[in-house]
Amino acid sequence: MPRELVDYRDSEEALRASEARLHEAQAVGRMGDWELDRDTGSMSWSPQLFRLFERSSALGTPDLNEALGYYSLESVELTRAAFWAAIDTGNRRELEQTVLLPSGAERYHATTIVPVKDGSGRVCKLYGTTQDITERKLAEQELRRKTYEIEDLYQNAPCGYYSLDANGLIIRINDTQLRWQGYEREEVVGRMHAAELFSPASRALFGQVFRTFKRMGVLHNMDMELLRKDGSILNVLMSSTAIFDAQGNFVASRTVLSDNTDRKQLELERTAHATRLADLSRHMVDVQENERRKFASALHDHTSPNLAALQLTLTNLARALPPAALPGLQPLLDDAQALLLDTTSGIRDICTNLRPATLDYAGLIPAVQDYAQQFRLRTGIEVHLDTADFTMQLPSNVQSLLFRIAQEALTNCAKHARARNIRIHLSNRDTRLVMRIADDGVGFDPHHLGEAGTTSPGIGLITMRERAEFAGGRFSLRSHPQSGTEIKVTFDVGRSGVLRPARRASDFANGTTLPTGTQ
Amino acid sequence: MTNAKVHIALADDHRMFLHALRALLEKEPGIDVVGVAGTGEELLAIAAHKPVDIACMDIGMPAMNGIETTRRLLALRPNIKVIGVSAFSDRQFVLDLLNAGARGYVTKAEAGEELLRAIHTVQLGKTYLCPDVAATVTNALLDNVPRDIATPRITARERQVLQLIAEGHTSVRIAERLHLAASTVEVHRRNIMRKLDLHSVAELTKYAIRNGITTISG
Repeated sequence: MPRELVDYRDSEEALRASEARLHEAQAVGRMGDWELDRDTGSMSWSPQLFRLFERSSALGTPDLNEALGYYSLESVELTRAAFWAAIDTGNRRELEQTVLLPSGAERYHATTIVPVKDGSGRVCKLYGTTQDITERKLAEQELRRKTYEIEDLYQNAPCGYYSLDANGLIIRINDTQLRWQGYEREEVVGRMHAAELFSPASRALFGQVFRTFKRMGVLHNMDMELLRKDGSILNVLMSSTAIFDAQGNFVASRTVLSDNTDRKQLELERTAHATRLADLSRHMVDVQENERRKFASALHDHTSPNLAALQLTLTNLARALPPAALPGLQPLLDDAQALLLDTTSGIRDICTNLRPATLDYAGLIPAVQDYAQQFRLRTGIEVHLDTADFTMQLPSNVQSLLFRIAQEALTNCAKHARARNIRIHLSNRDTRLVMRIADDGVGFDPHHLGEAGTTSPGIGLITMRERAEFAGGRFSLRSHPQSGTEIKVTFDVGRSGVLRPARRASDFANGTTLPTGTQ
Repeated sequence: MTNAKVHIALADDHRMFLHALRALLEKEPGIDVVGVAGTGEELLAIAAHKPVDIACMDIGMPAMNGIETTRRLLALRPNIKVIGVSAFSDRQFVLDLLNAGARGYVTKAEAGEELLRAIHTVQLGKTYLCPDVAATVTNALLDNVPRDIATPRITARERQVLQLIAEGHTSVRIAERLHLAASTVEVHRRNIMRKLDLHSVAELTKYAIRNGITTISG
């Protein structure tokens, strides 16, 4: 084979191989190339271009007008303009087009237009490449949408966001927080320090924790007060995370704030409610005690002196009788005296139960002593009162309260405990007052309190618990079968002598579950 | 003691009681009631002008109570012996009156015989508390009050009832025997238990046997 021929065949093969590679590359790149004759408007398309336009090769290559029919109206104009620009300037042009395919699908193409000049320098042909960029285009759109969403979320989420540099200067803040506080972005970013966002109280707190935060890197749900530009306060919960560099130096922090107004309001309302409840129950106790006091003294005033006078009159009558009549009449006189004595004692017991005169006259301890004495006479149960550790002066309403609880405890014990001894221990440390009442009776299982079929100390215990807790105190009970019962009430008596609520109203809800341990 | 009568002044804001008390005391041979006061002030006025050995003092008087009146009276006339006569037997009233200088204390419910006993006792320079009050006070802190002054006394009728209870009779049966209402028997039983600080029929029986009110018999 002559050498030239071999060379020719080789080069032809090489050309075919190169063309095949080009087609392959075009297929992979979803790219085609074309040529346009300026004067005739006729075109030539590479096979890949047919695929891009979903055009059957049987239809042959379209001319320019037909080819332009594939584009959206807007893209037709752009494409014409680009062709003319390439022709006029002799420079290449690039543009993106929207294509409406026969199947109805919308695609995006990127087209490069290259002008080709003839010998006289006139642009006679255009040739170029067209690539399907639909996927890139959609990805770009998706990215823009996502970016917008994220930005929108950052700016308008129902929380405040801000970021600080290492010195606490605000370097970024979102619209929500700006709106909350009434600032413009320019007033804040790069100008204000984080501390300036908060009320003086929160600022102090912030100052205390910021140093620790720079070391530890996390703050979680701090109760803070934002200071609005107009001076008003917005309650927020604040959480922050720190950003450290590779050497572990604090470089920045990000903070999220959530509006805490509702919860704060709820908390305030709950506290106010608890206070009102405690006030009301104290008031009710006062009213009740007053009524009892009035009733007791009315009962006493209208009966006791008369009964005493009657008793003396009977004595005088007995002494006036002739001695001979006495033996027959003495038993009758004794009966009359006995009725008087029993009535007097009965009235005295009623009055003491209503409101012991001693409680008003001499205070809690003498009143409990007297009551214990009377209790012993009635029941035979010994009561030991230990007040050696008690040094407090109590306002009368607290004295009433403690007396009533002691009274209820003793009554309960007499009814249920089968005890021989009761020990009442009253003590205080600072403003904290503790009264313990323990018996050596049969005890019971606090977990089976109020079960049907047995007489139960439950009602009395509930009454005591309610008295203590509604006045702001704590009540606990310890009892086991066969080992007696001890109740303990604790009050915090403020310096003013007013009972301070030791518990929140929500704690009252757990009704009759009685803690068995001491704290 | 000479034959001279003891001069007594009374103070109480309840007129009926005062009258009855005066009637009681005036029948006593050794007693001369020299003045009757409706208030503490009146008592002080009487004591300022008349010889008074013993003053019977109500505690619950309006304006100036018996404790304050006692204090002032004794500041004025330290030799007068004050006996409290009160509807209250609460310990603090008793202690405060004694601390104010009173020598005796009798509840109004026991004001008849007990008051006469109190008058005779304080006249001898001793202290007297009626059983009801003594029970209250001796249990308390006052170590200087002798315990043996306060033996409870029961009436003849109460003795009868106690004996029958100790012998095992029911209230109804006792009522029939004594021609009483059963409720009156119950009243006696309550009074006996209260006076003697007893809390069960067993304790009543034990007491009756120990004190010879009944004997153990078949």
